[in-house]
Amino acid sequence: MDTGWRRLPTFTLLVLTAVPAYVAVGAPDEHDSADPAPRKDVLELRRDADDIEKRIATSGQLYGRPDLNAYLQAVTDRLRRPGDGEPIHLQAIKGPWPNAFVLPNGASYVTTAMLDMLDNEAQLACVLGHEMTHLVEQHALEEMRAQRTRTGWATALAVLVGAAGAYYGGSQAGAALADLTASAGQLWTISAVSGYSRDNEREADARGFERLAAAGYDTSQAPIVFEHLLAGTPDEATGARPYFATHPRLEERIASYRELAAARSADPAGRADAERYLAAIGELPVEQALLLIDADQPALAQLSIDRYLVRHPDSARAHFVAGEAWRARSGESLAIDQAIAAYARAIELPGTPPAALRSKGLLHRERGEDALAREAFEKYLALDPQAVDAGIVRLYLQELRAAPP
Amino acid sequence: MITARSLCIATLLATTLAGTAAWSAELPAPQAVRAQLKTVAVMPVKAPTDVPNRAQAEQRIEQSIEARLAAAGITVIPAAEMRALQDTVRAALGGYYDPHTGDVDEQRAKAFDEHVDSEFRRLHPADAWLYARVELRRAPAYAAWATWDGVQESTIGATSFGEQAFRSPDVTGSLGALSLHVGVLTPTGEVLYHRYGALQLLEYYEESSGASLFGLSENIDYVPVSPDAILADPAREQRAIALALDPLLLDKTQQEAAKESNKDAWKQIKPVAKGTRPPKPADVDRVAFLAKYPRVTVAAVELPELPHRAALRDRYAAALETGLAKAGFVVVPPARYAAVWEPIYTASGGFYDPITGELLEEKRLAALREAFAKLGSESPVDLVFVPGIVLREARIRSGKVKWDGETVDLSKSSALFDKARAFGGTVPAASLELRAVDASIQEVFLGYGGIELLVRFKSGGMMSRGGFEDIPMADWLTDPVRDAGAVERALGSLVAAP
Repeated sequence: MDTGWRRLPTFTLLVLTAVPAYVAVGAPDEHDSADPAPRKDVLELRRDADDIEKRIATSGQLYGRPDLNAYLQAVTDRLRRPGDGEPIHLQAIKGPWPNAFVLPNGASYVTTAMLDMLDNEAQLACVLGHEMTHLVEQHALEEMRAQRTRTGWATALAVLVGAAGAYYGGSQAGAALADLTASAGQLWTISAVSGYSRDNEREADARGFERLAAAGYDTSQAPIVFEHLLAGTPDEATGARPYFATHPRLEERIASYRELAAARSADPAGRADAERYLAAIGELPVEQALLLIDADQPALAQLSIDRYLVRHPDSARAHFVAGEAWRARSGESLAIDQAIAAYARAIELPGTPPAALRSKGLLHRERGEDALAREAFEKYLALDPQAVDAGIVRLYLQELRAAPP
Repeated sequence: MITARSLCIATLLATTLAGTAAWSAELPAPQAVRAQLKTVAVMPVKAPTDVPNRAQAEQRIEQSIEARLAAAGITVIPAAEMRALQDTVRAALGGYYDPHTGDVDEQRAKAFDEHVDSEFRRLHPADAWLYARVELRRAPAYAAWATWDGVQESTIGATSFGEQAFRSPDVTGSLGALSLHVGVLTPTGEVLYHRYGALQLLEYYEESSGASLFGLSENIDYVPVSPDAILADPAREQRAIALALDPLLLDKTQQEAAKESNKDAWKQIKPVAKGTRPPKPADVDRVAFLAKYPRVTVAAVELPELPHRAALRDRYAAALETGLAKAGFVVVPPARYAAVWEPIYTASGGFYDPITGELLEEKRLAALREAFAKLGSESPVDLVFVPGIVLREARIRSGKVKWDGETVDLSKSSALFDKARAFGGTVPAASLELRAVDASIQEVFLGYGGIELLVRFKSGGMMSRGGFEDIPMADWLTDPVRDAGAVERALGSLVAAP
């Protein structure tokens, strides 16, 4: 394997499929400039939605925790109102940016980054109520018609594809995510990236807020979601730029939610259900951090795992992941010290992953701290004698033991 | 044989293109990178495994890069150092390929990377690591010229102006090509610089027959370059290295001067020699074949990792059994063969080398021999058909995609200005590969039957040229109607005349 190549762009044989595809999206489709018959475009939209749902299902991007999906579905169901029509089927999907979107066939997704960012169930309900309104009010159909008459959608698609690719650095996960945009791109773009028109977003905010209140949630949590989105963009730390957090309308939406919340300030306080929410997401933040490390975003991973460690200071796994995040930032000053400290903390706690000892040993070895390296490697093999890399570690130990003290 | 692995990887890779488009904008300026490079470790150069004389080409490129870096005043840690370390770690790890599938075992591969990187950093401190790899590319090819990665070459391998001007087809498409991809990363993996330099085309459009109607070409064909001419021209390698590395190593003035001094040398680079189109396999004499191998059976079909894999395996087992029986063979049920084969396969521990990932053909043949012997006592067979679903490149010709006996018409009408007819190049397709092995473990038959395209053509609107989009994997090979046709096409002349 060549580690470095994973981080480089890969253009290969099948680029041939992408070149003509570029041609395909390169110009607005004038043929369809007239408003099509409603029946036709509703079917078209539904077909595109089914296509995207199928792609997501086979992309490997679903988070795949049935207990969490059941919880998310229960919150969604609580927000439903009579006459809503199409039911929503909500699932968690792996994703680097906080995002949630609903497809016109009812398939709905919330990213692990969004779940990691939220503090409580009321905030989740705010996001879901907003997305539910888009579905109920058929905003996607409206937007599709409007998009067709205004502009081509290649630009918006490029934003998403570019963002996904740059973020994942050409990893398989990135490729799979980018694949989601390869077809049915207009719908995905509306649902997940470009957002809806200002009017539709406003309507979704207002009606989503009503759902939140009607379900008995603490409505003061609503603006906090968007404040998190705005504040949680660690541009300086990562250079990363999630789409929603740079969206110019975000501040307007915070203001809009604040107004809505202020108008209800006299109402009895609703529930936030923070504990239930955090129990439901469980170790998701730890897994999100690992996903971000794999995606070459260790600084974002650091933020995620640090938040989790505030709540779970005795999680050996979380300290190990914090060490991994620091190790991935080893180009920065003191990062190695921080990594070693995090591994050391993980090792002190029950349930330490053996890999914490291996990683600690490697860092000590790189720094020429042979005694510490030897100690860590010996403990590693004692804890996991069948480790896949046990053979290599034994070679290190032979060498370290043979070296003069 | 391209296996399941190739199909899956191909699909993922096809989608990576657009996702990486924004990269270069985020990288530091080459001159800023150059200023911090005092010591650079060169990683072993890699070329595609099926390139003839690959090792020599890799060595030439490696040495040229090392020399160029040294000439620029950079201290070089030669690729030999990393190669030696990789060999040691790989051996200690016992390799990182799955012996059953030949696929990379992700857990082992991750451990390999971690240990190699860590040890190399410890043993050879450097400011950056330079990677270079020969990669397959698609060169956008419009009419007379294919343009990619800094060069422009004739799409027909023309050697004269007249030939280039009058015999080039008016086709929009792409041709297979090779480029050198150079990347410079920090030892902790941060990308500092990367660039491609074109090496050569791998195929040409066949000269147009002249039958062109309103710019829509007819009778476009393709001819591969000679295998002996692949990575065989050091001048092309030097050009590719210059294209990929000069922007990093030279300042603007030096680049201009280098361009000027290279101009004449690069003009001397001739089109790569054409090869010949692979001959069609000779038809098998059906009557003689049936007389020699009357009793046959079928191994389980090798499949990509699709969601409906198990159902697909059953479908193809049934289609092959029916197809072979229809062709006149006595077919020992595939289930019978599977009962014999599975224990042998399990005991073998897999046919792939965990160190190199290569198929251990001898081991596989020994297992086949054992299977024949075991079948011999109870259900003797003369042949085992070994099927697999493989990725193929389907050629587009005049609005039709043709591969392995199958044809898909891209156009939906007989319109004169049919956009589909203006496309050339290739698109990915799936085929059934059918090999037959006799009791002496000789391969006595090989056939391919086209199944379906893995992309679909979208004509777009009036102002769009149209184009292709991927078909999601979940929708691959879902149409049972195609099974029998693919089997028939793969059997070719073994199928009885109607």
